Amino acid sequence: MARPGKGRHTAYWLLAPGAIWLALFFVIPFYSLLSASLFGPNGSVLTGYKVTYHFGNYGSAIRDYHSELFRAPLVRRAWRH
Amino acid sequence: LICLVIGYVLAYAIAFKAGRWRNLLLVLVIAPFFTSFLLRTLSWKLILSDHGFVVSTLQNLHILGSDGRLLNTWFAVIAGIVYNFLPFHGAAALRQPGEDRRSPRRGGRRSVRLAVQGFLQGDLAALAPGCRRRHAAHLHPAAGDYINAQLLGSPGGRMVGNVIQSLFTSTGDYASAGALSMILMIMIIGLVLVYIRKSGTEELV
Repeated sequence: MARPGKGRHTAYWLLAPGAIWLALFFVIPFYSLLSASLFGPNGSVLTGYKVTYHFGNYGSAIRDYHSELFRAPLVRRAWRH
Repeated sequence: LICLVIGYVLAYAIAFKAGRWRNLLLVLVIAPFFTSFLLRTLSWKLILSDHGFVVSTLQNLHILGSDGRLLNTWFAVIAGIVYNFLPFHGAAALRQPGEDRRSPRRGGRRSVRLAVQGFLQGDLAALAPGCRRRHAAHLHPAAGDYINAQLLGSPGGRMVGNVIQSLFTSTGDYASAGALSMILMIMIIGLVLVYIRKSGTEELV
């Protein structure tokens, strides 16, 4: 006869491979990307980068690349031709 | 949109008109998926090359000028994207959840209005969930795609994927690349949430 409570954690153990997969290929890369997006403006490949929570990167990215982000550039070019 | 229109017609033809050829046609539509994405895109370079069959035929028909070309133009990029993501839509014919809603084929003549109404509310509506689902599924890889623009487009015609790739690998501007990637991700998540709100999660996968 099975003891009451035995196997209570089985579902969690079965979830483990999926959770590890998610952590390895989603959570860690997402965290890495998020930290990269908050690098300070003075960083470079030579001097290295530091997370300075510089949210201005988002503003400058939208300002500099809004045409690529919000409009299909190819359609725009098609209209020009 | 081109994918949606072509995919809808394709799915309609395969699901309802192909008869015993249905499975074969489905395999032919989905078969390109079995080869590399890069290889499929590179093959378009051959097809659209300046001395290829397509360009020379269009030049002979005076649709293209004598020095006209298709490669390295916006047309080539859009053609590549449509080709690469069309199987997503063709696969909508795999399931027709609303097949029972198909317009009944009654004997005798029907008025054109009734026939069109029956077609729109029956056959076409039956494929709508599948096509909508595939369209949502293909939006994600297409949004970040940079291979088509890089291989088939001109250096000036960049997509957001190309910008992110060049910021990461060439310029070394990780901050802008990261911010741009996050913005793109947030935009896609926003679109998915709108889709879920309208259609639920059952059709998403």
